[in-house]
Formats: sequence, C-alpha cells, structure tokens
Amino acid sequence: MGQPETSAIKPSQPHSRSLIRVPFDVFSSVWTGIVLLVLLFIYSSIGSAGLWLPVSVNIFNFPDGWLQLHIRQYRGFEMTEFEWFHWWPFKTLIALICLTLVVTTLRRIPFKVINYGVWMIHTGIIILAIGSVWYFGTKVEGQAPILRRTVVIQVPGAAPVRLPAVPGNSTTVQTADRIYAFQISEIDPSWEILSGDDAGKRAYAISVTVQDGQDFFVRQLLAGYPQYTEDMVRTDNPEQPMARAVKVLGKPLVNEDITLSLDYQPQKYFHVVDSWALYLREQGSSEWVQRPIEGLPRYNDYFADRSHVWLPPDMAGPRPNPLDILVEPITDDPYHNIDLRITSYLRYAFMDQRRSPGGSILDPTAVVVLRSSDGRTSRAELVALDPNHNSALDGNLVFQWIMAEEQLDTIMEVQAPALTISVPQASIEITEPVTQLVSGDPDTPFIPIEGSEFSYRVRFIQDGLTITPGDVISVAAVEINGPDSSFLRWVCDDPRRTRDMSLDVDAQTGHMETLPLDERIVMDYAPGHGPAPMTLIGGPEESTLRLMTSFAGQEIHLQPIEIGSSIDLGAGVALLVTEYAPRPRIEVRPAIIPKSQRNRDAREQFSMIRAEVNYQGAMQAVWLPFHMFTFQDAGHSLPRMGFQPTVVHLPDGKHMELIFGRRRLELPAPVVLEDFVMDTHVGGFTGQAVSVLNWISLIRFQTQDDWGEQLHVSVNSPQEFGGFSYFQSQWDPPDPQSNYRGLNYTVLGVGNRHGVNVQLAGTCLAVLGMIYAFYIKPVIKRRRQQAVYARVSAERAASKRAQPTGAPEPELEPVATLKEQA
Amino acid sequence: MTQRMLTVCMVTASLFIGLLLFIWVRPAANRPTPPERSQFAQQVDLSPLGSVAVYEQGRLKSFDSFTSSLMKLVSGPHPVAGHPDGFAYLDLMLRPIAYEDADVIYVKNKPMRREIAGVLFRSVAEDLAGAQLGERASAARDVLERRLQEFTKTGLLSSRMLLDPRIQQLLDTRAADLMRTAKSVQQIRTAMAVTHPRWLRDNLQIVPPPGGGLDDPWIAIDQFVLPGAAIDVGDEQVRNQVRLAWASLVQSWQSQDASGVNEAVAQLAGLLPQINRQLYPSGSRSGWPWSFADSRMWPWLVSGSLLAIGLALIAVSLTVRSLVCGVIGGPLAMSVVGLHGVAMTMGRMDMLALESWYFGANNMTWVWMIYLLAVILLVMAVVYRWRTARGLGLSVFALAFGLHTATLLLRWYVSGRWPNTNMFEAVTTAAWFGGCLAVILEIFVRRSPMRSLFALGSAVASMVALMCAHFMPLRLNPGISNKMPVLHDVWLYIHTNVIIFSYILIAMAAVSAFFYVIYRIGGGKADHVNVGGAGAIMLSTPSGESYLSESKSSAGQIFDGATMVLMELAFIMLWTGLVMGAIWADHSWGRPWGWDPKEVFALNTFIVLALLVHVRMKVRDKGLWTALLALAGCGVMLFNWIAINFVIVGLHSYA
Repeated sequence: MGQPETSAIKPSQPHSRSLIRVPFDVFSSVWTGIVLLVLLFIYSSIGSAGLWLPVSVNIFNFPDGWLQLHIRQYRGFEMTEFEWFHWWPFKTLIALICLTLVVTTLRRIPFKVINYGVWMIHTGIIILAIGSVWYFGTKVEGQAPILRRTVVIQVPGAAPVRLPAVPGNSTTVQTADRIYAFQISEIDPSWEILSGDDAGKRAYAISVTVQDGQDFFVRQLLAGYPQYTEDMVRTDNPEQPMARAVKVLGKPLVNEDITLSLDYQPQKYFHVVDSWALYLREQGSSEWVQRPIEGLPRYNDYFADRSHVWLPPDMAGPRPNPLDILVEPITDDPYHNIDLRITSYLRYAFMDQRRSPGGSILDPTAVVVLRSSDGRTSRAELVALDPNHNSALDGNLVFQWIMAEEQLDTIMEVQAPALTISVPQASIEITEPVTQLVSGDPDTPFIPIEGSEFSYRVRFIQDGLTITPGDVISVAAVEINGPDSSFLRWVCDDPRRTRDMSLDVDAQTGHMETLPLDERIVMDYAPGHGPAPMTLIGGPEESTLRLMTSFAGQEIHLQPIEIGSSIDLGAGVALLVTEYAPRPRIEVRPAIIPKSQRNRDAREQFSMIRAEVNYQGAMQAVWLPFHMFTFQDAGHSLPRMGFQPTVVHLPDGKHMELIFGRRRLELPAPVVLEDFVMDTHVGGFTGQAVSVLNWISLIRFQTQDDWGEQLHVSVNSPQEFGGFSYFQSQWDPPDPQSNYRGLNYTVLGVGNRHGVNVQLAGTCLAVLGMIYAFYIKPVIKRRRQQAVYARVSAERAASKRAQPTGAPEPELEPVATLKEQA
Repeated sequence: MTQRMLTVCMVTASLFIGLLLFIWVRPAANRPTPPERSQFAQQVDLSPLGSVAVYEQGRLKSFDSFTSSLMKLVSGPHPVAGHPDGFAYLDLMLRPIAYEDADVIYVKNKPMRREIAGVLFRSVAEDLAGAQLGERASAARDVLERRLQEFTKTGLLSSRMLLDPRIQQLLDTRAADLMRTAKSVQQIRTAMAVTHPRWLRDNLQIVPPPGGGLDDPWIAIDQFVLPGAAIDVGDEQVRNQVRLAWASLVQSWQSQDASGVNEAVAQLAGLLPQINRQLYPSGSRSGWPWSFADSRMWPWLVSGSLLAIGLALIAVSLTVRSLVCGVIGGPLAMSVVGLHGVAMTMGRMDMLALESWYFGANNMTWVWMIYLLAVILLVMAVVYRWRTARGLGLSVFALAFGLHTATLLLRWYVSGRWPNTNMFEAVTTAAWFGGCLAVILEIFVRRSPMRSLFALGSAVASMVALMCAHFMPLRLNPGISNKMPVLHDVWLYIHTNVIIFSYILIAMAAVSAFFYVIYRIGGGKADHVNVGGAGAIMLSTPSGESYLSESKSSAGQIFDGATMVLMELAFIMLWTGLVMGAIWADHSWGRPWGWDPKEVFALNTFIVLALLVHVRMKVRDKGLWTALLALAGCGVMLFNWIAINFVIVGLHSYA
C-alpha cells in the first residue's frame, strides 16, 4: 500500500525452489491482495445490497428498472447482515487478507524510515482485525424494557400486592370478609403540584380507582411525593362529579387502612436481538423456563402441509417445506420430559378464523360478491347469526336467518322513523312520524306543537351512524322555533347524547356553537326500520337461500338464489353468492401475508412458529406468535406490546403456557427507571419525532443493599455498568387520539463492546500511516534527493578544483546509483 | 481585444447558450402550460406575510418557507396553477371550489400516471358511449385524451378525477403493495389531503400562545378567532383586531378584492407578533454564536467571507498576470460589492423575511448556471491551455463559488444550524467543500500544468450538485426541518462533514479521471506521473521546478497527477470519516459497527480506493487503471449516496 519501496526478491532458480516457498510467494504477492480485496468487495456488496439485475432496457430507470435479489435472505442462507458477515467465507477472506498483509509486509517491505507509513497502515489493519475478532466474537446486544413504577397495595388481612403502573391494569385483593378491586384509571407523567411547598413542580401521577364494596374513590399517588397522596370522592354536584376528599370529608384519605404506595419496577433481563427462544411454564407459575432455538430460519415461510395455513388467494404460495428443529431442554429444566419440536415457521402471518362447509352447528355463512359493469367488485363474508358480521356495505347488504316463513313479514315491514315530543310545562306528549325532511324539500314548513309556543321541522335523519367501532347511534337534526329563540337540536336515540346547537354558523370556521339544552321541550328519536336494500334470507330450511331487494322507488322483491349464479340488480350491478354453508366448520389457521404487502420495517414482529409438544406419547401442535419481550404476565406487559401465551393441555392434566420470543439474558444487576424526560423543540410534542429534542432515562442499578447512583441515559449519551453499555432505544410515545399520555416506560439498548479500544487504536494507526505514506514520505524522499544532488555537486566541484588543467573528466556516478542513494 | 480572446468568448457563449437551451427546453416539455393569472392574483401583495412566523412540527418557519414545502406536496416541482406558493395556499384554503377540477395534484410515479390515465380514459369513454351524445361525445373524448396525455407528461391531475371511484379502487389495490406502489399512493393521497381547506386552516398555526412559553403549542388562526374557543386568548383587544383583520382577509379574498386583501395582510402581519413578542422568532433562535439579526453584524460577515475568498482568488489570478488580472479582478470585485449590497439589504429585514427571500429565490440553486459557464471556460483552459480562458474561467468560478458561499451562510443563518442534516444540505455543502479545496489547490499548483483542473473538477461537481437540487426538489427537498434527536451531537459536524468532503473529492477525481479516459480514447499515450505519493506532485523538485513541467509533461500525466492528488486525499478522508462514524455510532447506538448498508458501502468505496492504490503498483498501464478505478469509486460512492438512501432503508435513512 502507498507504493512502498520493496526489497528486491532475487529470482530463484527453478531447480532450487522448494515447495515450501510457494505459499510464501503467493501470500507476499500484491496480486493476491488485489484478488482478495475484489472478493471482499463482491461479498460485502451482495450481503448488504443484494444483487441488482436489470429488468428493463432503460437501466437509468432506477430502481424500477432493476430487480434486487436479497441473496442472504434466500432459503439455505436465511442470514441477517450480522450473520452474513460472520459466516465462514467472510472470516476466511479476512484471515487471508491479514495473512497476505503480514507475509507481504515482512517479506517485501523493509522496515526503513521511508516505509514507516506502509508498516503503520498494515499493522493498523491487523490490529483492527484482531480487535474486531474480539469485539464480534463476544458481541451481545439486546433490549431491556423498564416500567416506571408499580403500585404496592396493602390491605389489612391480605398479603401485599404489586400492580404495575400501566393504564387499565387492575387487580383484586381478597381478605377474609371482603373483596377490594383496584384499577389504574389514569397516569399523568407531568402532573403539576398546585399547593404546598412544592407548588409548581411536576410529578409522575397515578390515579387508582378503589372499589370497596359500595364505596368508590380514586387515590392519587405522586412519584417522589408520598406526602401528597390523597383521595378523590364522588359528589352530588353534576358540575364537579369528583372532589378532593379533604374538602368533602375533611380528611385526605377515605380509608386509611388501605395503603397504596409507589415502588420501582425492577427489570432483571434483556432480550437479545435476532435470537429465538421458546418459553414454557406451568399455568400459575410466575417464572418462565427458557429454551434457546437454534437453526430457525428468518425470511421465508416453511410449513409441513398446505392445510396448516391459509395461503394468499392470488398466489400459489410457497411449496411445503417442513422444519424439524428440536428445542433442547436446558440444564436443570424442570420440564425436561416435555419434548418440543418446531415444524413450521412463517415470517409474516396472523391467525385467521375462516368458515368452510362440513360443520355440525347451525351458523349460516355466505360469501357474497357484488360486481359492477365497470369491473369493480366487492366481496363480503356474512354470518347470519353474528350481529357483528351479518351486514356489509354500510348496512346495505344484510344476511338474516328465519326460523319460520312468517318472519318474512316482519322483515318486510316498513316503519317510518318517529319523534316523541313532550313539553312538560304544558303537559304535552305526542309521537309524530317523520315524513318530510328539509334535506328533501328545503321549503318544508315548521310543524306547530299544539298547546305550546314551539314548532319544529326535521332537517335530516341519519340512522346507524358509527361513532367508533361498536358505538352506533341514530340521530335526527330538528330545527326548533321556541317562544324566545330558534335553535337546532340533535335528537339521538340515546337521550344522553341529545344536544342543542346555535343555528348561526361562523362564516370563517363553519362551526356551530353548542347551547345549553333547552329543557322546556324534550324529544326522543326512534329510528325507522325496514329491509336493507339487499337482504339475504336464509331458512327456514337449511338449503333455502333467497334474496330480498328493497330499492328506493321500487317494490320489495324476493327471489331464490342459486349458488354460483349471478343475479342482475339493475344499473349494471350483479350479485353473486359464491359460497353458502348453513353449518360451517370453523377453522383457525395462520394466514400468510403476500410478500408485496409486508411492511419491511416490521422485521420479525409478525412471525410465528408451529411447535409440536410431545409428552407421555401424546403430541399436540400449536401455533405460537412472536413476542418482542417475554413478560411475567399480562399485568407486567407494556402498552402496544402484546402478551399472548398459548396454553397446551397435557395428558396428565397439566396446563402449560408457551411463548415464542427472543432469548433473554440476565442483566448484571436489576435496573429501575426512576424518571423519564422528553425534551422538545418549541411548541412541545406534536406527535412527530422531529419535534423531540431528546429522551432521557434516569435509571438506577441495584447494588448490594440499595439502589445505586442515578445514571442518565439519553440519545448520544450511553452509560456503562457491569460490563455493558446502556443506550436509549425506544420510548412510550403519547397518543393524543386516545388521550394516552405515554412516558410510562423506556426501552434501553444493552450491549457489550469488548475490543473497541483495540479497534480504535488500529484505525488511528492506519490513518497516521496514510498521512505518512502520502505526505511525509515524499518530503523525506525529496530531502534525500536534495542531499544526494548536493553531495554529488560538491564532489564534482572538489574534483574539478583538484584536477590539473587538461586532465580527462572524472567518471560520474550513474543516475541509477544516485536514485538508489536517494 | 485579441483574436484568441474573441474566439474564447464566442465559443463560450455558443456552448453556454446551447447547453442552457438544451437543459431548459427538454424539461419544458414536461412543464404544464401556466394558466393566465387573474387580475386579482396579479394585484395581491403577500409580501408582508414574509415576516409572519408559522409553526410546523417543532419549528417556526417563515410563511413563504412553510408554504413552499407544503405546496411541493401538492403539485410537486410545478407551481400550483401557476401561482406563487403563498398565494396558492391561501387560494386553496379560501376558494377551494376553484380548484375542484384544476389539474394541481401531482402524481410522481410515471407508471402509475399511465395506469390512472388508462383507467380514466376507458371508464369515461364508456360513460360517454352510454350517454349517446353523438358527435359531442367524440369531441369530449378528444378533450379528455389531450388532458390525459398532458397528465402523463406533467403528472398533474384534478382532485375530481382522482376521486373517481374507479381511480380510488385502483389506488386501494396499489396501496396494498407495500413493496412497490404503496408509497406512490401515499404521495397522491397526501397531496389530496393537503389541498383540503380544513387541513390548510388547521395547519395555519400563526398565532403564538398568548402569555405562553416555548413549550406551549402555537395556535391555528381559525381557532384563535373562534368565539368561545377554549384557549387563553390573551389581550382581548389585540385578539379582536386579529379577528377583524382575518375576517377582512377572508371576505376580501373570496370577493376577489385585491386592495382589501393587501390591507388585511399588512394588518395581520403587524398584529400577530404583538400577541406574544417574546416567542416571536428573532436572530437569537439561530445557532450562530452571535445574534446577527439584532446586531446587524451578519451582512458584514457574509461579505467579509466573500471578500476574503475573492482576495484569495485574486492572488491566484495575479500569478497569471497581464490581461487576466483585470479580467478576474473586475467581475470579482463587482460580485463582492454587489453581494454586500444584497446582504446589507437583507440585513435590514428580519430573520423571517430573510428566510422568505431565500425560499423565494429558489434556494439560490440557479447558481449552477454560473458554474456551467465556468466549466465551459475551464475546459477550454485545460484542453487548449488558453490563458485567457483560464482567467475568465477562474473569475466566473470565483463568482459562482462566492454566491455558493453566500447561499450556504444564508441557509446556516436561517436554519440555525450548519447545513448538513438532509440530502439537499449534504449535497450542496459537499459541493462547497470541493470549492474550498479547489481554491487552496489552485494556489498550490499555480505554476504546475495541473492548474485549472481542480477548479474545473469542483465546478463540474458543484454544477451537478446544484442542478440536482434545482431540478429534483422532491428528491432533494430544500425544506428546513428540525434534526432527528439522534443528530443532536457534535459528531454530526465532524463525521458527516469529513465523509461528504471525501465524497466530493472522489467526484472531483472522477472529473480528471474522465479527462484521462477521453485522452486515451483520443489516442493519447499511456502516461502516468511517476512519484511516490501524489503529495510530491505538489512540491517542487530539488532544482526548484514543478514535478510536472510545462513543456515535458503530457496531458496524460497531468490528468493522472490530478486524479492521484485527489484520490489520495479522498483515501485518507474516507477512512477517517469511517472511523469517526464508528466512534459516533459507538456512543450513540452502543456499537461502532452494525453492518448497516450505508456503512458497508462506505467501506466498499474505500476498498475500491485501496484497490486503486495497489493496482497502480502492479499494472503496466497505470494511468488508465487509475482512471477507471477512480470512476468506479465514484460509481460506488454515488450508489451509496443515492440507492442506499432512497431505496435500501437502513439506520442512516435520514442522511
């Protein structure tokens, strides 16, 4: 490297050349080094970016005109980048490069001042390689999730209970005569203390609802400020339904016998990245037994039989390719007699329940396809007896089951929506059908309510309005003229949601102002009913399936359905029932997601395995979804991170829980999260990472008798403890949509870094060598040249002076010799 | 004027005009014909809004900067209906109906354009056939066909057409393909969402929180003026004035009353800072060591820097002597004085107005044209050894580099941080580093035949970089946003700058390598420089002469020498940058090396450079192999910068 001065290797005589010199010659050849560097380049490129093949004539159309082949992810390889660069070919290449460097340097580059640069570069690279062997050979990296607090509940007559501080977490405590229920109702990570010596400070506040028989109160706990613990109780004041107990009862705590306090939630483990493990335990036990899984693939789907999975409809799917990986019991495995074997692995799938003919229980199911003349299609699977799945297309397509033919009349019955109006002061109560709408006729007149000063007209009605999934309301918008004002009333079928609004719309915003409800007039809305535009009618015989159509302006029409035959609905729309099963068989299998629909950022999060549990001669197969973290139980799991252990019932009556996840290792000492701080840019947190300046986890490790000194782990500022460094990896972001304030946990990256200083020394030495070889060496050479030229000039001048006039010119040193001296 | 100088000027002018025409005319075919702007649009003056701050994702931007980045989401590289961005924003918000059938939504993906056009044409043609309109159907089909042809070229289509159920179904299908088309669908849907008046109103957060602090969110003007809004509105009198001004603006805009709009805009711009003056941005929010906006020091700094660079270049030009001195000195002095004038003018503006000016001037990416002129002149200087061309070339290069420097300083000032945190900044700053190095090297090699080559390499690299920024604003988004949390570290300035410096060195080396290959293709002799360590080329020989003598060196030796000078420097800088990156990664992610694609391909680039050094030792045709491997190194570097960033996602995806 750096065009060193090489020592001349005398050409050896063929007959005297011993075989032992051949490898030395090969490894001291620069060509060997060049070939090895080329191989290293190719290997690295393929492993990192894959192979790129042009698939279009226009090769400048990048990336669409190219096909990327991820070689290392292919079957047979199934390697992460880390594994690819730790595979034997890579190690061999690096070893050969190091060998070439050593042999070449020793044999061909004399250790002279002029060659110090090359020596430094080569030595630096060898040191870097040694450091890397140490570093990567011992590398362990993982993540440790740490919850901020746990609530310790102490009730007289019962053992203390720990309730991890996660919104929604709940538990019960039973004493000899009572049952107490506790639930974390709210967590505010930045609650401002409004009174006392600490007024103005902010604290992590946890509200716990306590149900003690008929008594109910909310206890608020502040992390770091136990002196401010107090209860909130219900009041009769609708404007302030909850009030501080100290103001209502004259004391801060409703029941001083119930002690709630906050404690750290220690984390003992970290989960190793890109690793696999199976966890098992007997139901009821709190400790998992971990069995590492070796040889499990990563990127492709492997299964024994197509009938084990739901294949994507538009692809033939991967060919069956079963696995047979024995998950060896660990030393002292209490469940060593349970044999676990993995027979399938799916990279991206989810458990899906589907129906097919062949069952025994009546549960009519039909698959309906609607096609329009422009080629659009819509498919729906309808289950008549399941209220959540018996309609589609916003209620325009419904599947109903009748036990008797007479029920048809009920279905066909059409009833108009109605308003029940009462004016209490005038003792009026009437029910009027809604027949005219302002939305249909803008000139719809107001209808006076006889005996009162009110009149009304209905702007529009909206039935079956979905507010949130599962929350459906019907509403009538009624304009009301009263004795002193006019307003718009949203009359809902749920009276609690009825609202009065101003009729004036703000010109700029388009908003209507909410008004206090005018209680002089009360309205209830009863939505109308009738058949949906398209209703599939099944029954009373199981084989009978009919279609009832009820389109606006047309009569209700009933016709039989033939499975697989289209029915023309007019306007270019056709309905087709492709499958119908009155008694379907319900099967739950993993549905494989087509590769094109997989989110590549999801990594292994949607992977699952099929494990065979062999015990006492009986075998059970179960699908286990992947878990990022193996928590102790559901109460200890973190928001957004699932916890779904699969239960297997063994022949001897035992119930085993299984979890598929990542290997976990013990931390040098349990760690707790004392505080978590989010620094933001101007304007606070907006929901986007760019508004965040930094995340800071304030942690403590357990020492012999207490929690050690506080360590600040933040982005770009890791901390060291027990041979590992800890860096900020993930956090718990707030979700304003669901009113979730977040910041309840942190996830620390954990990793060792042996040999880093050796690597650094090697790279720095190489840098110095490069500077020496490229910039210092030429100066040295030039000075030597100048010295030689000066010496020669001086010698010539001296000899010229000593030479008698007329004597022949002295013989000059040849140029080659001068160069050699220089 | 001598005959030679006349020739140089004529050749230069012809080439410059020819290239400009080529570059402008070709994409012009893909530009939409701008509709005639209404009288109202022409009369409206939104310049007072230039000093209004808008809050966006943890950052306070000027109104023009804010609308510039948002309108790019709507119409991509084209102006929305031919309007300036600020006007388009308000017009979309206040007169949405005018845009229902206007072709303003940009579809970036070309195959998707064709697909959408196909579905629309087929379905509308079917509808027309069904309507039995006779000849009118045929005329309507022709109109539609022309419109869709225009769409496939420009990428612009109306919301109404995109909301066609058949198109929506197509988009739904394509959205399911996460690997290939989901991003394109997302881009279309984002564009449509951004044009929604409700979205535009909600995001016009121009009211500082009255009495609030830095952590309090800014308020959308709609929310602020809303009667009974559940927010602290501060001084009721100011709020009423804002309310009236806003209502007047809305009403005047909707009634197309330009004078009313102008009056309301001026009122609003004056009132908004009064709501909370302490939170309103000033020079103190910048990352500069001094508050230049307050002290008016920064224009002096800008012009001082330029003058220093100018003087350095004059020093270079003095070595050329005679006519060239005047040729260089004149324009250089003029450019510095002119720039100082501009800087002083801008110095009287506040920071937001300056930011608006910067975005209004298209981020000054048009400087590529001046670099192009320098390239033409310097190529003639290199190829024909014309001193006149060299003098002119260096002076034009000096002008371009001076403007480039001013751009960089301006961006540094308005963004409050050294510009190297996104692709736009990395590319333009890297090019600027190349310019700095070229200035230094040109001084060193002023007596060597390698002179002008480094300036040429830098001019080519800067021209390409600024052209990319100019013509690909969607890829190289010039918008200024906050840094990702992980980038808040001193290593950002050390590692990133060293790496991008090495990249620009590789690009500059590729220019001289390219010349070497051309020289060989043209039948040039297989020459190379024969010195141990290219640093020696910069030194003089024991006899005081340059290693490459004017009379004895061939063009091959000169090109090879320049390539080696740059490659050896790149070799060290790249390796050092890698080491620095590893140090940063170690203390940021807890590991120095993670085999991330960006890391691997930076290493691969280094391997190519290592190959170059070793191959040069062994092969007979050293010059050619050096040139080819320098070009290969540039290819790998570009792959790392382009493909790895945009296609292969890794830990460095924000870089």
